[in-house]
Amino acid sequence: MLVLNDVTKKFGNFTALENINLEFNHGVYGLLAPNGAGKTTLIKMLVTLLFPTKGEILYNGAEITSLDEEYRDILGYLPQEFGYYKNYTPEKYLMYLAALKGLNKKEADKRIQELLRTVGLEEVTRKKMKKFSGGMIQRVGIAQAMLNDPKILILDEPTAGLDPKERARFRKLLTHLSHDRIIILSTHIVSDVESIANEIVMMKNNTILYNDTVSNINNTLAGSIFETEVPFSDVERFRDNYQIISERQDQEHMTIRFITNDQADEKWTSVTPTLEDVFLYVYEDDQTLAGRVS
Amino acid sequence: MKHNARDIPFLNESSKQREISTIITNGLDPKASFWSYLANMYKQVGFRFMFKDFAEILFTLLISIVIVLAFILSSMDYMDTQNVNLYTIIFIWSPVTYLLMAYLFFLNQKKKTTYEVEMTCKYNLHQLAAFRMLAFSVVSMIINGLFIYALNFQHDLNFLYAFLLSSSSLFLFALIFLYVQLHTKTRASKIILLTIWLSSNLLASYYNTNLYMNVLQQIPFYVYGVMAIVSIILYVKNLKEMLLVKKMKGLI
Repeated sequence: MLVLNDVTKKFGNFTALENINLEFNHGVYGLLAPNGAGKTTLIKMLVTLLFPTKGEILYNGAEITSLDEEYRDILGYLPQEFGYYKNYTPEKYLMYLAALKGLNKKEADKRIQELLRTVGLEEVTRKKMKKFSGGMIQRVGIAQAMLNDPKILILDEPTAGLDPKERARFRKLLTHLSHDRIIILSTHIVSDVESIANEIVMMKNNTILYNDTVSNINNTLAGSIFETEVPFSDVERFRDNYQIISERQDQEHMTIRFITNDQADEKWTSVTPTLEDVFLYVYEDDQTLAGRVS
Repeated sequence: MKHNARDIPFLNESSKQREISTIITNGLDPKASFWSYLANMYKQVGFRFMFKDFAEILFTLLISIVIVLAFILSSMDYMDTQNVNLYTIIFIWSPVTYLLMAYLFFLNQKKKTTYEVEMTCKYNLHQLAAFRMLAFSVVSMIINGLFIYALNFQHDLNFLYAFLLSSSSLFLFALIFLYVQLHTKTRASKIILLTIWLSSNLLASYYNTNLYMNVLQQIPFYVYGVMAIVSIILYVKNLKEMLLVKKMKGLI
């Protein structure tokens, strides 16, 4: 069990995270927030690249810094910017990281072939990575994070650069792995975690806003999400009065999905809230999402 | 069932302490010593990956030797070679080979995007660096020894004295450098240290040659020997600290 107790991280006068309390057991945890909300800072603390200014991070009751290599031995990490040596082949790079992770050569050889097959790179094991696409590099990154069969797998924006087919394969892989380990997946893409995460951690204003199951989080907006058809001439007025989640242009009118606590109009259809709705509602005032909401 | 309190065999204080230490000894993983830890790490990681920048190191070393030789040869054009004290050159330049090998690796590595992944592996870059710094200090000592041996053919040098001087300067510098590395985070602090080392020695030897040479040469053999040994011991002690303390301070 991985536990964060009152964790605060400051960079000089700037407080990146404040009084974070979290508990991770086996399963997939989706760390969901817009860019700049502190996800990467939190993740860097979980992988010992940064240390809390205040508070403690415990794994099975022991402080992760005091566990040192014992903790890193059970850790798999894919950073947001996964670096690689351009002239290395994926096989050689994984062999190098396997050595740093303390795997013996025979064990590593077998594991590397297995993982390259899992991430669909078995055809290019001996090609230099400088010729790889962004998606292929990301798949090497995913493979390296799983080299030591980690008990804690932490992935920062793992689906960046992956096409829809690769994303689906990746989600399947995580579901398969999640039964006996902690998987923490940081993302700002709701669909990456909506279907696979056991719990969602949403962050806002440097602290935790929600830490619950998808359905419980969705229920916070139950009865407030509607869809309606609005004639084009009324769209502007409608936009001014309600918080719009999405709009779809049809032949004669605009179909609008929106949030309101007003008494339901008979033309409105109440719909089941999704995580995307909550995400857009919660981060409505976030500048990075401004383009999506309005 | 009725228990009689007097039947319970209470332990005396020394038995209690003995039992506690038995529990602690059996309950905790045995911590490997510094040397066996390094040996294990080398066995696990191997030469190929431990020194994966071997060609780069060799190239840096050759370049540095060429620069040093060029510096000596060109300085001979401007100075009376009779006044150039080789011991001064040995004392000043000995740590530079070490620095080139040990620190450039760290500097390059930190700039690479692979840094984060490498720092979160079981054997991270600090642990590799501790091993490499130890290896580089020995290699530097050997290279300096060979350099002095070569000089010995052309100049009237006392090999043992020059070698002790070189080794004590190398480990003294390595020790100070490691201390700075452990206690400061900025790159500037390391550059300042190197600049101070080079400039203070060069200026002292240039402006007060006699005094500088006297200080350097009047220190007896055994003092240099003791200085080298003490520096080596403290250097290794600091390398151990690098393995243990660095983790407490944050890596990036």
